[in-house]
Amino acid sequence: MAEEESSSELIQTDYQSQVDACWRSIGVWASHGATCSILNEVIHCRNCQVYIQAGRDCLSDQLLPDADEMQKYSEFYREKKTASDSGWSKVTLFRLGSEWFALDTDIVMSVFKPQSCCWVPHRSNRGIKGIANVDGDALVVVSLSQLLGIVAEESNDNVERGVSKAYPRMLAIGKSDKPMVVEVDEVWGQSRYNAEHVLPLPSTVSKAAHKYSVGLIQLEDKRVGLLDAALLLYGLEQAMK
Amino acid sequence: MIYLRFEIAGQSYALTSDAIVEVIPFLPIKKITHISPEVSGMLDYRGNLIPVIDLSMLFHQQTSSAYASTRIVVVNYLQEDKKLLLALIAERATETIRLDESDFTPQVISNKRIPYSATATVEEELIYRLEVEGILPSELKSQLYPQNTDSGEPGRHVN
Repeated sequence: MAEEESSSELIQTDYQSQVDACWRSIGVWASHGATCSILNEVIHCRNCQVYIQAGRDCLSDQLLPDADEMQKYSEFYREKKTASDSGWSKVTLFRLGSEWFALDTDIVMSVFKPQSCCWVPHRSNRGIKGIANVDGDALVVVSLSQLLGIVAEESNDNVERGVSKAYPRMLAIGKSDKPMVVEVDEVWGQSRYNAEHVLPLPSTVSKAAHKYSVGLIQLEDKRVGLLDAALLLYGLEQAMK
Repeated sequence: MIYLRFEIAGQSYALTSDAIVEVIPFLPIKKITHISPEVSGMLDYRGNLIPVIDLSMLFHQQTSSAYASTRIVVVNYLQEDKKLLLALIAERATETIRLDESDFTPQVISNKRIPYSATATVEEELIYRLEVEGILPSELKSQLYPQNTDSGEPGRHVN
């Protein structure tokens, strides 16, 4: 075992001596008065051809692992993939008020910082909040909290409940042709759930949220309401009318 | 489009990532007798026995070098009626590149045997684009998948 280790070290030192490792003497960042003219252009060595080529050479000259290791690889690739993706779906998690929701990632087109919303005369009485400029497209902003019957909480409440500081975001959701924009209080990120592990909804969930929810998903320490994507889109479209 | 970039005897090639199932290490391959030298053998890949083609042998009559950068590229082959897997041994298969269709120039020379469909220039170097369907010459194709090859296709060998 010790012999093997020393031999691998030998290969590495052999290799290191061959490479003109300019980044070792100059540094990888174009700061502190870099002495490399290329570095001033590319900012970091990872953008430099010399560095990339050294990486390629490093990989191309590496010998195959020993027979035992290759045998392990062979066994690994002989096995069928156990963690099959069937039954798993990706969801985007977001917060409205104090409740967390999960929405099918397929219909979430983008997440962006809140933008000012242009009020629409005669149409702002119900679900529509206005029109926002999203990457040059004028998209309708629909109130998701109103649709789900969630009352926006005062900031004091959040502090008391220990909900983290608000990072409001906007989500563009919908199928590709006509996305809608909804405002949420926070986006946590992506997660996965298995359809088998969806828990039934408790009866205490508000009526409006109940209508658009499929069930609850247990994610680490919190339970998240899973929204029915198709129904939610339908509901949002109705709210726009 | 993302392409896998690899080399065969020093020449760079690009293979579209759509066709690729997985890029795996250069595993030991079970040899087969009485078969063309381009066929390295069979590989037990996730419960399927799949044929392994040495691209270097196929294109340049020399075996691929046994380095860690030489990898086996598992691709989907003959997609239309049945999903068949094919393993290709490619040298220096360590990176992917992003190229648009407009970066490629269509292949000007064609004799229905050249497997390159287009050429692009990346980092001042010519790179040929390979199509999975075109990699195997028809006589090799009929050896590998005799049941899936049309009987009327020219070049089919009946031994």
